[in-house]
Amino acid sequence: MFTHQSKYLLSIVTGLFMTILPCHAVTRVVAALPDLGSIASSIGGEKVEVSVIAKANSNPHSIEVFPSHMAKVSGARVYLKSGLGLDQWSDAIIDGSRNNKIVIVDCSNGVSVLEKPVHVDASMGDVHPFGNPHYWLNPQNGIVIAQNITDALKKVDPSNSATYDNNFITFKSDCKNRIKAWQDKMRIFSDSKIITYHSSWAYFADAFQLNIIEHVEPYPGIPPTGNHLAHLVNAIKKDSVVFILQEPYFSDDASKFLNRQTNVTVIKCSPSCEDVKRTSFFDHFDKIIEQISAIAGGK
Amino acid sequence: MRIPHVYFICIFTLLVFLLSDAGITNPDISALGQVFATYTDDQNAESPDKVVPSFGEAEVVFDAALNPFVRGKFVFSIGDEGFEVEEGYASFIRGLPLNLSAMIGKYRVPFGKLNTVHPHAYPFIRTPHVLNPEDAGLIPGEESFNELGADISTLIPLVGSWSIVASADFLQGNSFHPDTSANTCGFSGHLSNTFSLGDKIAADIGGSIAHGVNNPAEKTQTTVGGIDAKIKAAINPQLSLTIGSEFIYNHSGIADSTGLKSTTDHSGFYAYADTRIFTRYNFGVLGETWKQDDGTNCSIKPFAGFSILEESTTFRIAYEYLKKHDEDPVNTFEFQLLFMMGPHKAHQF
Repeated sequence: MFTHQSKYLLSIVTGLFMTILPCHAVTRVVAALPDLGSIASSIGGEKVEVSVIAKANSNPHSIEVFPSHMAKVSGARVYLKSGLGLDQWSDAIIDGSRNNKIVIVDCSNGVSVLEKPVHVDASMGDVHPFGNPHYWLNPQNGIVIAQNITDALKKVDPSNSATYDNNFITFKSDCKNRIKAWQDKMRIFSDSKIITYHSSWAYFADAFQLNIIEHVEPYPGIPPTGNHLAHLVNAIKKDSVVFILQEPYFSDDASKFLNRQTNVTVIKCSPSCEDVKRTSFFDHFDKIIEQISAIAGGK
Repeated sequence: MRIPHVYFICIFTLLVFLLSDAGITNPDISALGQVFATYTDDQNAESPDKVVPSFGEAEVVFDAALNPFVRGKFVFSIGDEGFEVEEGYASFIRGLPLNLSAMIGKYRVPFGKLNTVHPHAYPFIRTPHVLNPEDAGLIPGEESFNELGADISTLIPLVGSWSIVASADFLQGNSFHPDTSANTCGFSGHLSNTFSLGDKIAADIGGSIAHGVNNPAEKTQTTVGGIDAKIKAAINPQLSLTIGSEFIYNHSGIADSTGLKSTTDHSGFYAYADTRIFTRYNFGVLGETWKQDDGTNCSIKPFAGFSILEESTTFRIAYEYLKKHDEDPVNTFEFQLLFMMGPHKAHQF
């Protein structure tokens, strides 16, 4: 009945159609940041398919919204927002996705927010009015995020609630064990004075008792001036600053200058993990702590 | 639609009073100002061979969710010609079937790539000639293709990162002709294909068509077609390159004083390349060519910009070499300071 060509064409059309059809076997989750996605992979396991908007090396404050992001969200059941005003771009993606059924999870719910300003205006730089939004860099907050994700997955997929609960318990226990090991490794740096480029590392410092005395940016979002660098050179010498933490998406000219002037170690690492695999969230802390530990001999 | 100053002030005051007293979440309010200093050797300009400072159009934007399904947005522009409701529309972003969204009101029509974008968000100073209806006359409208109408659009995810956004607009039709009393209507449609090539390259290729009556008395019509393409490559976290271009073709019917009808065909093309470093610095070049009845015009415009903090304070400079077919070449230097207060959100690719 069908010619050879029409069968061939029919199979292509069917194949294309199948790729468009939503797959109901797994719950599709889109995370604003890879860290949130990695935790979602831990909680959801085989029951979820996780994708991410911002990449590890992107500045999470300014993600350009592509229609392909909207297409990704259009077929998703859960969107994991970073919240605290960091990912305002998520709103444009969610609205543009035209997805009526999506459940939006603000992963910052329940986090003890640091640096919450009493008053904010633009003269203070790019300050977040709801407080410092880089909360996932305290691994303890990973458990809070995991709880938020577990609640959302149970809501959209109640038939697998027991799986999500079990995975949450496993994640929590694993996270606590790892935190203990990381704290042991970082004990040598307890109360060490450090400088960070941007205020991305407040939660990390809080988790591992590091003392951030200055930022390379004079104000959040504002690159350093000559006067500020001179001030930092004095501060590094006076306070015996151990290292500078530098995000990869900012210019490292200033950090290199400070290194040349004072010999201070510059550690360049992303505030976000590389991937959305189950272990990515933990691997990221392993990597940062390994980089910091490598300078232990110089302390 | 020009509104006398006094009415605007009354509406603005009433709106602020109602919202501040209503116990509801106030809208996001942003204001944008721009200062220019221009030097041109164009002897047909008002002040040739002089540096002329000017304050361009200021914009005030109100943007808020009206309920879980609908957002509202107003863009008022304030310039030498008074207050103008540049845009005012309600977007139905959720609740419609088949992944549809809708927009009703006065808005920049989704025709091509740059028409929907306000000039402050361009990487260069001022709208390209090809997209300026008062200049090249290729697309309908005054300063942009901006009309009262209803838009319906859908997003169709395809294989991988490939997706299609299709939109159709039913317009009042006044962009095609100056007679606001005439009862005509217009139509516009846009189809955009977006896809990513790996993690670092995003591309968008689209086509547009618009149709309307350009002379209600003689019932002559205009059809405008366009092809647009944009590609952005994030070379590394600090460096990106964007290339964009559009080709516009205008086919219009005209009638002379005796009622004799004929047609004209015009076209234009622009392309730009913009390099952005650390999101704060950018430089590039914009080239254009467009045909009018009796010749071809061209322009080349290198540009550069520097922002203190994203869009809040941006300095831009540009030089333009413009050669119109029947005039001597013109050289223009321009400086622009853009300042913006209020919540400014990421611009879409």
